[in-house]
Order: sequence, then structure tokens, then C-alpha cells
Amino acid sequence: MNKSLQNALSIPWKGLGFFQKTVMATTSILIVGMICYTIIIRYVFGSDFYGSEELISMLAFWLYFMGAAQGSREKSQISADLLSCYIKNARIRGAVLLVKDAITCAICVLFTYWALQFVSWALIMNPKSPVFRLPMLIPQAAVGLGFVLMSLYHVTYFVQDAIAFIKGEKFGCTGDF
Amino acid sequence: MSITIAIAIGILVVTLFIGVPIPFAFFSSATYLIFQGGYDPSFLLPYGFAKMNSVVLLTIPLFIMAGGVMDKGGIGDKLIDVVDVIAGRIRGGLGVVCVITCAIFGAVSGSSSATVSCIGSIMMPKLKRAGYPTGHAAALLASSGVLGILIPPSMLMILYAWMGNQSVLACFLAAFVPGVILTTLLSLVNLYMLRNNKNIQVADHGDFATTSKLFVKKGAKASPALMMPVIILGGIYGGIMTPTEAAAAAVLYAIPVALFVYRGLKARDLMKTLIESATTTGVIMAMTFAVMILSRLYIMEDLPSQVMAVLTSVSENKYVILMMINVFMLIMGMLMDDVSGVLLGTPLLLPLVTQLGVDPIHFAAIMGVNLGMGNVTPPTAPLLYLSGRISGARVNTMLKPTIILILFAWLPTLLITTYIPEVSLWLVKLAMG
Repeated sequence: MNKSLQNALSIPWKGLGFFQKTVMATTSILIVGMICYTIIIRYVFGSDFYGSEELISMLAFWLYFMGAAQGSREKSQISADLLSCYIKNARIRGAVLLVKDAITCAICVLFTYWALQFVSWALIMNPKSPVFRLPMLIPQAAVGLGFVLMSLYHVTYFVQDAIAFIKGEKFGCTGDF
Repeated sequence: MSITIAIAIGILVVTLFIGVPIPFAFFSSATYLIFQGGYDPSFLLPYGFAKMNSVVLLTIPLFIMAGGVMDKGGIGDKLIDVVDVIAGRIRGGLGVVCVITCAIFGAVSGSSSATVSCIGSIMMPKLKRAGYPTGHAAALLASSGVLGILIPPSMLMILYAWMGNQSVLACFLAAFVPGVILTTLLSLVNLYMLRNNKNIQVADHGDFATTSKLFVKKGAKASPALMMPVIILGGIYGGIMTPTEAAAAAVLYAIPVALFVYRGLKARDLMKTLIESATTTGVIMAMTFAVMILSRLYIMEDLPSQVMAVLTSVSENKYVILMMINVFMLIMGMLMDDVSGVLLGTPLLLPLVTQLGVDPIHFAAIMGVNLGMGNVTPPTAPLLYLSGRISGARVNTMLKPTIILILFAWLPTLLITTYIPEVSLWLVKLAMG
């Protein structure tokens, strides 16, 4: 890839990584904090944090889907990957990996389309949560953004792998610009 | 079985086989069913969303976080030291130390791969120095790592309980006794296999009085780590906290223990550990979301009844059908990791076994043992390969000890768990009535 283009792309790429990690760490801390606060006020103050589950669930969706996107970014989504272990020929193994990448991309993009339809429905209907009357768009947007990011990463890796395959270079990119 | 279902399962197997990430392999099969069956995809995502909007499910990331913090905190060494004082004195005893430590660490971390990574990285150099054959040690570590599935609190049992609408507490207790049986059998088979190996060095901790003093000293150092399962299980069984609250309390407890007591975790690494745990959570939740959608479609296609019809066409005997279900789950465990196995297996198989009159809580234990065994059964055996990588053992040197452990430890545990329901249920009845 052109060096200047690579440099230009590295900024948003790193920015996305930073955003995801920030969301993941923040939601983790907030979830633990809120649940522990619920326990403390129950036993120490004999009170109840009514509606806490609603807030925690909203945070959880951001944790789940930013984590899922991070899994795709780091290529740490779990896979069985049996065939490539048994194929000795590097060219054939590369072709199989490319087919795998293509299927992953196609399916991910399709589900991203459906996820965005789901989010757009929340935008139009604006459903609210039962206790705090918060927009349900908050957790649903996490699903949409999570799928968009997963698609972005899988498509990027597919393109990188396809270029490497065509050039006959060593297969399997690191995932970084 | 209908041709549509056969093709959908075929797509799932092929995509898994070529290495498509498991959530997208599930989505591939779901996509075929959506287009073939004419289902409206607009209801599937809200369905997955609604199912995941669960407080019980939150227990998973919290346990992963607590396990991650304890793992980085360096509790492995302390646990190994305390077990070594007792078991390290006999030939093959260090192998027993490996098994028991994995069982205890499994209770703390709730994850098989974390157990294999943490205990393996500490135990392997010790086992090699003591003259243990590398292949044997790696095979034993892989089998022992799976104990985390069975010894509570287990992430797998939480997922099963959530998917099958069962009590988390009951599922924890049901898997505990098979976990103890497996721990015992793995230890005994290891001792028997190494009984004549003269290359193995045996630790000498001195006379009884010295050993006792050493045990107390090492035990005191390990006690903050050992308190974690006590807090979690005590909190849940004592009715003080829900499983989700107990998991959050475990995180809150683990952080100061790892930072200030064991000092294995530095404050600057805490964020990194939280991010790593969140990534693991995300990977699991992506699978959960995908399997929610796929299992919904399978149920709409009436797959459980179709599988039941296939099984009963072979035999109507409950025990024969249970055997076939075991073989099916074993194959599933060989094809995919334990979490994916339980996510896909529960909605498919639970209705079948319930029809057969099997208690769903009993089935939790059967599924745990089966998927654990699948995870160490070649040719796929993800935990076996992980163990091989950590220990530097060649897979061919691990095969013979693995097969022996499967035949004489795993298989008896599976048969006992499957055909003697009381083994799984007596503790549940004792504790919960």
C-alpha cells in the first residue's frame, strides 16, 4: 500500500482502537461500580437502587459489542480452523483462507445491514426504557456500531490478504496499518 | 430430517471447518435458513437483543474480569506451592499438584484456557525440571485445565443455566461432583502411568512436623486467593448476593488482592487487563448473539423434534439415546470450543433430554463433562494444542498419554455422570431441597 495513504489511514485506525478501548474500560468499571453500589446500599443503608439493572444493561451492550469489535480488530474471534492445519501447500492454504475471509466479510456486511435497520427503527419509533425513560437507542446503537466496526475490520483484512495473495507474499496480515 | 435443516447444518460444519470465526459460521447457517425459509430478518436482531438484555448474562464478563485480574496478580504460584507441600512428596506427585491446582484455579478463574495458560506457564518448567516426560505433562495439563468447566463457579454452567432457564446454583452443584471424580481419576491415572519412571525426582519437604509448618506457611500466603471462591459461592449459597452481584464483588475483591497482596499486577496494567477481559467478553457475546438467532431459527424449523425422530429411529431405549447424545456432544466439543458448544447444544438438546425424562440439572453436568472431553480429544482438541504450545511439547508425544487419560479418567467420569443421575443431583437436593 502507498506509504502516504498508509500514514493517513493509520490515524483514524488508531483513533478507533482508542475509542473502543476507552468504552470497554469505562463500561467495565461502571458496571462493577454500580453493582457493588447496589450491594452496599442494600446492606449498609437498607435501601434499594431502583432501576439499576436498566442502566447496567445499557452499559453492558456497549461492553459486549465494543468487545466483539475489538475481537475482530485483534483477529481473536474464536474459530475452529481445521482445514488450514492439514493443507501443506501454501498457495492452496492461502486460497482457502481467502475464501474464509470472503465468507466472513459477506455475512458480516449482511448482518450489519440488518443491524442498521434495527437501529433506524429505534431512531424512528424512539422507544424508551421503563424506569428512567431513557432512549433504547443507547443500547441498540451499540449493536449497530459493533457490527459496522466488525465489518470494517473484516473487509480491511480481506482486502489486505487478497493483495498479499495476488502478489504471492506471505499470507495473513498483522491487522495494523 | 428435512433437506433444509440438513443443508443448514452442512453450511455450519463447512464454515467451521474452513475456519470462519464461530459467530459468522452461526450467522452463515442462519442466513441460509432466513432466505430458504422466507423468514423476515427484521424480527431476528430484536430477538437476539432482547435475549441478551439479561442481568444473569452479565455474570460472564464479571467472572472473566475477576479471573483476568487474579491471573495477572500471580496467584498461580501461591496455589501451586500449597498443594506441592502435600502431593509433591510422592512419585508423580507433581502431576497431582498440577491437577489439583488446575481444579482450584478453575474455581477462581472459571475459564479452561486461562487455567491452562496460567498454571501451565508456572508448572511446566517445574515438571520438566523434575524429569516428567514433556508429552505426558502437557497432556495432563490440558485435561486438568478443563476442570474449570466443572468446578464452580463455572462460566459454562452460567451459560447453560441462562440458556435453559435453570437455576445457576443448581447447575454449579450438579457439575461439582463429576469435577471431583475427574480430579481424582486424573490424579490416579497420572500416578499409575509414572509409577515406574525412575527419572522423576521426588520433592522432600522433611518430616511430618516440618511439612505441617510449611503447609501452614504456604497456606496462609495462598489464603487471599482461596477466599475468592468462598466469597462467590458463600455469597450466592448464603442468599446474600445474586450470582451477578457475587461476580462483581469478586472483581472488587480481586483488584486489591492482585495489586497490594500478591503485587503481580501493577496499577498501570489494570486497564490493560480490563480491556483484555472485555475483548474476551465481546468474543463470547458475539457468539451468544449469533447462536440466539440461529437457535431461534432451528426451533422454528422444528429441529429438536427432527433430531429426536432420527435418534428414536435407531433405538427407543433411553440409555441408548443418551449414549447417542453423548457421542453427538463429544463431536461438537471436538469441533468447537466449550462456550460455543454449550450455546448451540443447550437449545438443541435440552428439549430432547427433557422428553426422555432426564432432569435438566443432571444434563448440565453431562454436557459439562462431554464438552470438556471434546476439548481434549484429537484431532481438534483446542486445549490440547494450547497446552502443547505452552509446554513446547510435540503433539505426537501428547497423543498416547491423552488417549490413556481419556479412556481411564474422562470416559468413566462421563459414564458415571450420564448413567447415575444421583452423582450430579444428590448435592443439589442436599443444598437446595
